[in-house]
Amino acid sequence: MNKKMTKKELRKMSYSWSWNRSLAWNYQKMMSCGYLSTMIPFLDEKYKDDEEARLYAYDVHSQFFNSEPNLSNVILGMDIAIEEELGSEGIDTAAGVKTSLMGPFAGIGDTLFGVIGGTIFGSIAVATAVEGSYIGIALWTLWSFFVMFFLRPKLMEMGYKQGLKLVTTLSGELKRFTNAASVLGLTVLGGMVATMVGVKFGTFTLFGTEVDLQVSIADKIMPKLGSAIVVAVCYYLLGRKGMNANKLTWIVLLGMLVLSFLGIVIVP
Amino acid sequence: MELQVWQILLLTAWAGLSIVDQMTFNLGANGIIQTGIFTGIIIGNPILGLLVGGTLQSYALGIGAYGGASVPNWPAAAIIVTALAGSLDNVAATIAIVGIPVAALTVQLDVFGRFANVVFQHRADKYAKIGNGKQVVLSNRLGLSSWLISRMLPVFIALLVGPALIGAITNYMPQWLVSGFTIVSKVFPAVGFAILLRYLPTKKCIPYLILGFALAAWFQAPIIAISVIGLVAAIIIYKQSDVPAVAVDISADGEDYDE
Repeated sequence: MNKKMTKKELRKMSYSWSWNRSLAWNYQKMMSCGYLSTMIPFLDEKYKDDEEARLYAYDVHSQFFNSEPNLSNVILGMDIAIEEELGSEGIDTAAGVKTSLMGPFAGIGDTLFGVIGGTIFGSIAVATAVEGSYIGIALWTLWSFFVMFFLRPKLMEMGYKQGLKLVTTLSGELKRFTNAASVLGLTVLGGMVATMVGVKFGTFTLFGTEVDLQVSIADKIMPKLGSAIVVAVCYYLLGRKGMNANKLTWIVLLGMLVLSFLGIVIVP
Repeated sequence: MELQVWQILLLTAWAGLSIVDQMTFNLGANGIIQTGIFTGIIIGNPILGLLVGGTLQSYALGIGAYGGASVPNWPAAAIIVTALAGSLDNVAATIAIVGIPVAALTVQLDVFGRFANVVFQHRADKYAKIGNGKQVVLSNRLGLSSWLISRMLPVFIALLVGPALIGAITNYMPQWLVSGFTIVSKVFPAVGFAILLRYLPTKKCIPYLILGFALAAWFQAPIIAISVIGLVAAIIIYKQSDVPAVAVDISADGEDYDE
């Protein structure tokens, strides 16, 4: 009964999680369905001689779940390790681990994989794509394959083999890594602000004198002044209460149309 | 640009594949640039798709579906803009007239999908109670239907009525509005960047943001060069930082959940 999972089985489970995780994502229990669906083959095998425990495990694993898809592999790995070791007694422990880790792992994982990975690979892909080169998007796609076929199975294996003691070391290491990666992300983003955001000021007539805002003011201060201003304004607006990305989209769309109508900004 | 029936069908199918990939493996079919390239191939102009995809991706750089948030549907926009623009000259206007509104308005369909799946959640819960694993897995898969409808329908309709609509709009649009939309399409990456800056520890690490900006603004450094310099800074920071003694508080409730 206490059969140990092989590397191959863990890999299969990681793929199963990738497939199932958000198929029925919903506002009520989010990834709960995906979590249970991933666990079902394991639970059916593990509790095949104990129907009561099996039903209990089904119930426990159909509770609310939501976390970052990659780091969730660690949680799943720990979960099956705990249940394998403790049997039906371990179901509640596993549920506790799962519930307490999903929040912190979502925070770290979203920053690391979503924000930073997206910034670094995304920026390079964008910068090369607009110049007509496929190299950046090829790199990003390669990274996606690496995550799917190497990283996620690896994380599942780590969670399974090292169990709870991994939490302390892994999250410490991830924070350190996230910190350094943020530095890289911000450097790239600074470059992207200057290269991708195109703003050119027009001419403005004041007391009968025509002033070329771009040439006689902006360019004298620094290159790409307009880009820096627009991003700073958007950043500020996003910090205001009740603002979100969708609202900002419309504000920028309409705002720029007005500024262009007034001739304050022109086609770069 | 007029589209053939087979083109419309293939592009609609890709819209479905794209959302399934986003909800599952994340291998790239959900990518805005990849979607642009695929559309480009279908209409016989892959480079156009690459450029449209790259431009739209720059709008979305900071936008992820964290915690199941609904975000603008840029992959759909990439299909529609690439297919309808036809040529490079029309890209900026098509992005502003069709791309941005489609991406922003179809957000509601994502909300629909996330609501509709509650039905399948209840179905799964019912079968979980009696321990019927097969039906639980099936309920989970039924969730696919909501996702497919939410993404394939808008793309299909837009590709069907789009060409006539675009033609009518561009014919009657005054010049100042055309240039206005061109300006919008150039400024728009600022939105994505600002969102990203809100997620990153911008205030703490502002010198690096300035460094990257300065390298590009004054020295016209290519983005790969800036990445390498950023990598050097990151490695130094990583090597100098100590491993924190106490890690996350595992009892804490996080606010950021994922899709």
